[in-house]
Amino acid sequence: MYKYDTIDRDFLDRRSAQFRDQVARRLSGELSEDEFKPLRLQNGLYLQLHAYMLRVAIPYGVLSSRQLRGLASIARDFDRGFGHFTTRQNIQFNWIKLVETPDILDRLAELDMHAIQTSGNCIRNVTSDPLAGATDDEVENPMVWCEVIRQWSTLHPEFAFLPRKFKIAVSAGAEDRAATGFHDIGLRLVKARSGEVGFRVLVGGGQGRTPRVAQQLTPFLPKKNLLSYLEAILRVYNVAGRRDNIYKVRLKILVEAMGIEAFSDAVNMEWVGIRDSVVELPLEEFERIQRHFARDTLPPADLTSEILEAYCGKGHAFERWMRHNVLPHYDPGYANVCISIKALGRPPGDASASEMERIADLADRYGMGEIRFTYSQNVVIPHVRRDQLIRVFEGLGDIGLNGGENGLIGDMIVCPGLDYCNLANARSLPLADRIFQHFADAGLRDEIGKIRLNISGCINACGHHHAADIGILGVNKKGVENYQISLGGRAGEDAAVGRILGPSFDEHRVPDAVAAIVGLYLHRRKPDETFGDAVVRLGVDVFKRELYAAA
Amino acid sequence: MQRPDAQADSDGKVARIQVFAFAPAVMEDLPMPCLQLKTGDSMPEANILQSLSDSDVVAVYFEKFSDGRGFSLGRQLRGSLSCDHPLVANGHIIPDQADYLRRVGFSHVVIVPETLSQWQKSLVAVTHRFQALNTSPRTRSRPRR
Ligand code: SF4
Repeated sequence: MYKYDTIDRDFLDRRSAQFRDQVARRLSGELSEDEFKPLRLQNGLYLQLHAYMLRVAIPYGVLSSRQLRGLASIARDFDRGFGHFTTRQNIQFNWIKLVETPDILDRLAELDMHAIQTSGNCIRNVTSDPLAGATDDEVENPMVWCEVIRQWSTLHPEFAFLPRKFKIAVSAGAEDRAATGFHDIGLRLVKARSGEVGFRVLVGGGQGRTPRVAQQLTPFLPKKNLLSYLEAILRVYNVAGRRDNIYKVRLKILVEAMGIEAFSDAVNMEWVGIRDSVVELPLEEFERIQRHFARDTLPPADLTSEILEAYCGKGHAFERWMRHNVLPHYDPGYANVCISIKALGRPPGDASASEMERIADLADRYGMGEIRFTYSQNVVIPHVRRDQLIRVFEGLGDIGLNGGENGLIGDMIVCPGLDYCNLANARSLPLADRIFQHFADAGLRDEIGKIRLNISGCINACGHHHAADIGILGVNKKGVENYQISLGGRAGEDAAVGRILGPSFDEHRVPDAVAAIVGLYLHRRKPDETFGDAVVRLGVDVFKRELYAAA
Repeated sequence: MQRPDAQADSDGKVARIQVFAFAPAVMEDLPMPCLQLKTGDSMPEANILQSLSDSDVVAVYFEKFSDGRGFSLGRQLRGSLSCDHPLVANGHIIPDQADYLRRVGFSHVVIVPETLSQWQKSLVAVTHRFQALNTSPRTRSRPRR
């Protein structure tokens, strides 16, 4: 992973001092709230329903065990002992005091971390595949490019005051695990017939009240031109993006209004002037960054592990965990462990300080001291020797975290909803619990298999309900919390926006509605057909008829 | 914060103007702009820019500090003007934007005198460069990181 040098550290120290000064000027009245707001947002500080929230950047979701322990101590000292993992692979602290934020930023700087550009109308934390560099299905390691983009976009002088937030994701795997189709810019590393690696560039994707799947801007961009091309896209957006209507400010609206061809012409016109210019990253700098991501030499692993064999066939829970939570690694003797931190009664994405510390310990003992946060608010420990998986399983069991199943129906993405968010129409956390309870039978969850069920408390779609097999959206129906169900959303390679099925349900009826939908799938599916594939084959209308006939 | 303006003062003379160059020197007699644009304007036609003499001041007026279009316009203008051509940011800009303004290519800003020290402080607060943006050789020669 990328390691800070003295230049990076000096930068963070200065930035932290600068923010301390800005807070002091706000408190003295020298800065108005209007002027302070974008400055605090660009330092990750939000004002929420009950308190300030600080969002800390985890670049493309990768952090070290030392950093995770440091975050745990911040959760203890400045929050209520919890951190919240976000869908942008960051972490949030929800109970922060404004006057303490400069101290927190200092603590973060000691950990080589910061909160820069985790909110505000600027280029946000670039996201990526949580298995990057640890899987064999990738064209090359996308983290190198994420780091290039992170550095380029950090304090970019031209793009610090965009019409709205701007999100970029990079993926390189055969399977798109970074939801690139739902980003302002989605970059997919691809290999041309000639063998040259470059980017397929997608633009104008996003969720919110106007969900759009990104369209292809160019099928192949040479790697050396990445920064000038990004700069051209951002400039067109910065100049031509709407600023007069909060609902029309995102790039997706501009792309749609102009049409992808006219947008592409505008980008190319900007690009001509800067392509191959000083804007591009010098080769030496690229190589410096690339060296940070060279594959570690992994100690040889014992493939015929006696320990593993001794356990398999005996412990049902361990076998299930192996099936759902152990993901393939490029080295057959190793694996990537996905820890799903979703469980009944706990807000999805929340982790306690002691859980974070335990995960850090396990990453040190059985991995390479590295941790990844995922888009679905889970945690991955990469590079775990297969013959030590049982130890990880037991270690997670000590803190009650070996029961969560990656990718099954309980592994929901759920926004905070009405319990914490002042924009919400409806609560989402209690609904997630109801659904959990409804599908309490592990055998049933196994039978259903891979499925993504996401819940958002309002149309802002922080719970990514548009991109879910089953999406649930909180709506306000004459003052009563109700939920609309949509079907057929996908975040991967063939990204799609889910289709709304029909009239909404109250919270008591949602679990039955979900059960009816899932029941039809179980009844009509072909062998080995996932829920998402069955919806594509059968069509959404079949499910709609079943659902409302039963209702 | 008070909105600085490059307008005539009450007795009809050009107001005292506090200006930064790349090194934050104060200049008091920068001429009034020859070409005054504002955020949201598109790039002037090439012949308009070509007709300017090297000392004709071009200015971009920020109606609101958070309207980032002025940064792209500054960047585009700098790409068409010589590296020494005076390019001024005026209107509602705040000291915390000093380094951004400089790095997209503005050579001067118009400010109210009381904020001078804060502007000077902001120019040196964070001096790292992750981007090579400005076509001005003075900026380009700065360390990249
Ligand atoms: S989706 Fe709506 S309710 Fe949920 S966190 Fe986002 S803004 Fe709040």
